[in-house]
Amino acid sequence: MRNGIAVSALSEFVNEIKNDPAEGIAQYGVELNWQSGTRSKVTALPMSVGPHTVSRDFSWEIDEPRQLLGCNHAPNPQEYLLSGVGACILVGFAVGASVMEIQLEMLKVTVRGELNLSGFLDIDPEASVPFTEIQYCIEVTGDGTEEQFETLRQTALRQSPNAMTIMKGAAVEGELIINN
Amino acid sequence: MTKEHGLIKGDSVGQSALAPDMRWTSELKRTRQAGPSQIHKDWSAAGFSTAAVHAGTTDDPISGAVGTPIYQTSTFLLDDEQYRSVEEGYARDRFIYTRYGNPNQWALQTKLAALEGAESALVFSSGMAAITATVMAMMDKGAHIVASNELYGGTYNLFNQELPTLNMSVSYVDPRDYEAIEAAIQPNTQILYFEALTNPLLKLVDIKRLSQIAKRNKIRLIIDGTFLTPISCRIVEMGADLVIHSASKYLNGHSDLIAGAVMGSRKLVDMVWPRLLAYGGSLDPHACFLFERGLKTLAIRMAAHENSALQLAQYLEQHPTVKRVFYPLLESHPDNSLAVSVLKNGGGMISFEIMGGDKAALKLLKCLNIPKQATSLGGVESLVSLPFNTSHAGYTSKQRQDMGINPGCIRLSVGIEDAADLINDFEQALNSI
Ligand SMILES: Cc1ncc(COP(=O)(O)O)c(C=O)c1O
Repeated sequence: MRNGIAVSALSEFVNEIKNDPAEGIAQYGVELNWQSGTRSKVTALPMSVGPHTVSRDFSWEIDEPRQLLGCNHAPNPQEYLLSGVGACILVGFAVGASVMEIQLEMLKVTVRGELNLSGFLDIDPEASVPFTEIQYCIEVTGDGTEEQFETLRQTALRQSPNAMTIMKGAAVEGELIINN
Repeated sequence: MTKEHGLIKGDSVGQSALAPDMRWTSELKRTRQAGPSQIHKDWSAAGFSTAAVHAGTTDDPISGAVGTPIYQTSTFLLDDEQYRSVEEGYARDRFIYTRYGNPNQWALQTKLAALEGAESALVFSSGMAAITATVMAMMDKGAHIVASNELYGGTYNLFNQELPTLNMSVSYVDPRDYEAIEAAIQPNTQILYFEALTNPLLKLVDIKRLSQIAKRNKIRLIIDGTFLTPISCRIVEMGADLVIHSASKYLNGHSDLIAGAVMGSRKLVDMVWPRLLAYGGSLDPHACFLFERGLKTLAIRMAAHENSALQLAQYLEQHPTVKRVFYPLLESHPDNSLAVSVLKNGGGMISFEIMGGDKAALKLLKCLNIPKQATSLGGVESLVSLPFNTSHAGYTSKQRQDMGINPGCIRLSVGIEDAADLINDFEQALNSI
């Protein structure tokens, strides 16, 4: 299968959602449990695609480097955020290449970002809490033309839910439960 | 992009999703179709026998021979269209290699789908191959099943011995305790798995009710319909996502081959197909030919099974040596009102309990002249067996009694023999124990 993407099944799914938009609603969740210090353990919650539950038997750890008071036992929250953005762009690129009948040989996405910790630590009220900049780089080898790859880059970014969440933001609602 | 092509070796309705200058997914044009099938014809208005005889059966266009020829081949000539189907992931619509698909498998699948009123079907080299591929296709890592606590032993072994190795788990519940079924559902539950009619006590599950529970909880309902057939009730139409059969039983009907089948929406059956490929339970073309021939008479066979079974059940019920008889169409059956409302045919399975326990039951089996002492069911010949030394031999007699299987319990698959002959045979056998 070209690039390992079943475009026929994708096409059927796309047209199914056109007929019944509820099929296109995906719900996700993760649960984090504090272990100690800056370390937490994440478990993926069951997700749903359309009207069906998908079991997610995955868990992983998050930590901070020693400089940021952790033990450096696992990637940190920023690295997970950046990898979530990068993976999302990568999926869009591979899917788009398959729709355009481009055979990929190599695809590499790097994502880098910079934070000013004076913001998080509230040392300088002028310093920004969010990332001040995020840069991505897509490196590709395949049988597409330069123009096609440029189109793909733009589409992959524009259609990436994670990249667009970073660029446009999403409403965040929260609650606090106190178990004393 | 689909090039101009000559004859499509496969399903001509199933085409590439792509066209030149497409840029993104929203432009993809392939939609899901019923099948795959060599001929797309709507049999929904036809009766069961008409569909059983004609749906999917393809006469040979070259010689004019009537009936599906036997395509005894492992592989097919490849051309651009075939390569394209592999590249884009629509290989289920083309003939490539017999494990992937063969005209004899397609003829059968089209017939089965027409009988069930389903979009798509797959045939397998056994009922267990169908069950394994189907269940695995609907499960993700760490998933959980809520299943009947009266499953066929082979299915129980799969669930109890194989699934835990794959980090999957199963909770077993009374198939008629709907509150317990719903209470057993966990956040990672993906399947409700039940048998339409249980073995050996022939409890009838309420498929519509199970389907409501499944929908409410965003999970899928899989029913093993082996003990009933589409002639009795169309399980997919009643709300099951997928129905599985051991076709070694009624569907083929002649106790002369091992096969399995699954029927359902094209979407879900397409998800099962890669598991058929991976686990390898492909049905040989010659076996498909036998199965297709058997399936053509399904409706008249089921009418004959029901006719003989009902008369024999009524006869047994009034015999002084017989303590209890289970047959869904008997008024005394615990699920009779559900059976009357949902079953168009009561099938051929009877179980009954005689005085004198398992010893007397063993003697009765020896005295019978027509039913053969053998496991399995659904053939034209009557088959008789005792749960205590066959299907339920792994349990203690106390465990069996807790399930309602008392000493002297006999399972009978009534064939299509004349009711009068079967009744005479049971009369002489019951009188000589
Ligand atoms: C209800 C039921 N399901 C599945 C099977 C397994 O089918 P097969 O023997 O064709 O693999 C059987 C076989 O006895 C059965 O009775």
